[in-house]
Amino acid sequence: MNAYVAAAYVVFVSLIGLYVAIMGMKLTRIQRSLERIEDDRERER
Amino acid sequence: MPGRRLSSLPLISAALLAAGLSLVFFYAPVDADQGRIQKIFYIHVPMAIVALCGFTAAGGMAIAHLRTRDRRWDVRAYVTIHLSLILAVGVLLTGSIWARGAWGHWWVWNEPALVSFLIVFLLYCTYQPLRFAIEDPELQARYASVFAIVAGAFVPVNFIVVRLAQAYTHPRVLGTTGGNMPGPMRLTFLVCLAAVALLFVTLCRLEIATKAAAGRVRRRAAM
Repeated sequence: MNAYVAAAYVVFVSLIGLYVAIMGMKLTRIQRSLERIEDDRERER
Repeated sequence: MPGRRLSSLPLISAALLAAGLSLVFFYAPVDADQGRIQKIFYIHVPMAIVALCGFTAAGGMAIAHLRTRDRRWDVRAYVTIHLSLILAVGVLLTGSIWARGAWGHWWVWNEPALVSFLIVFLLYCTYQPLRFAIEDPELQARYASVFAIVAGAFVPVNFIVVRLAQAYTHPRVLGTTGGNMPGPMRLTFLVCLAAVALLFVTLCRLEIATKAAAGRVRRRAAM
């Protein structure tokens, strides 16, 4: 019985954790793109 | 101001979620009928309620998009449906685990509540393929809004029809009797419901902020 309860809560935490991790990776990628664009602008000047 | 709200919301959500989980495991009494497995209820039902409300709310956002032609409403509807789908996956998985423990089966096909939720889930699974099959952004947003409105109207109708069904094994939670929950169970359930709802709002805001940042980067790169 306890294993089923643990499994259900692990599913919930994993889903939220996975979603936050994916969003974090997206934000990191956006941050890197922004830095690259700004570096390119600096070099052009 | 939105930045400050975005940074305080995750903290409040995490605190409420921690409070909810503490209540589940240290305060709520063990169900006399089902035993400890009933504790899945405190996460399964709030996820189902928030997911179904999210699908319906996305329909309202899609109406706002079609009325105002403001693309922000389309983004909000898209993000709301995306997150509701993630919660729906959680509902199906936790529901199956609960069903296996309580009924001895992972899935019961003659149970209207289960099958109707699966139908709603599968319906919304077609939202993203439909959306991204259209290249023109204007047309994509308009068709996606029409889908969100029609599907959003289907969700409450589906819910009412299932409630009217006579034969069922799946328990009814929301009713005029309040689901016959004793006080500590009801309090735990309400805290968990508030926690999941706030978590949903927080993640929606996070994804909308991420999309806005990505859009700004694209525009800067194009300049």
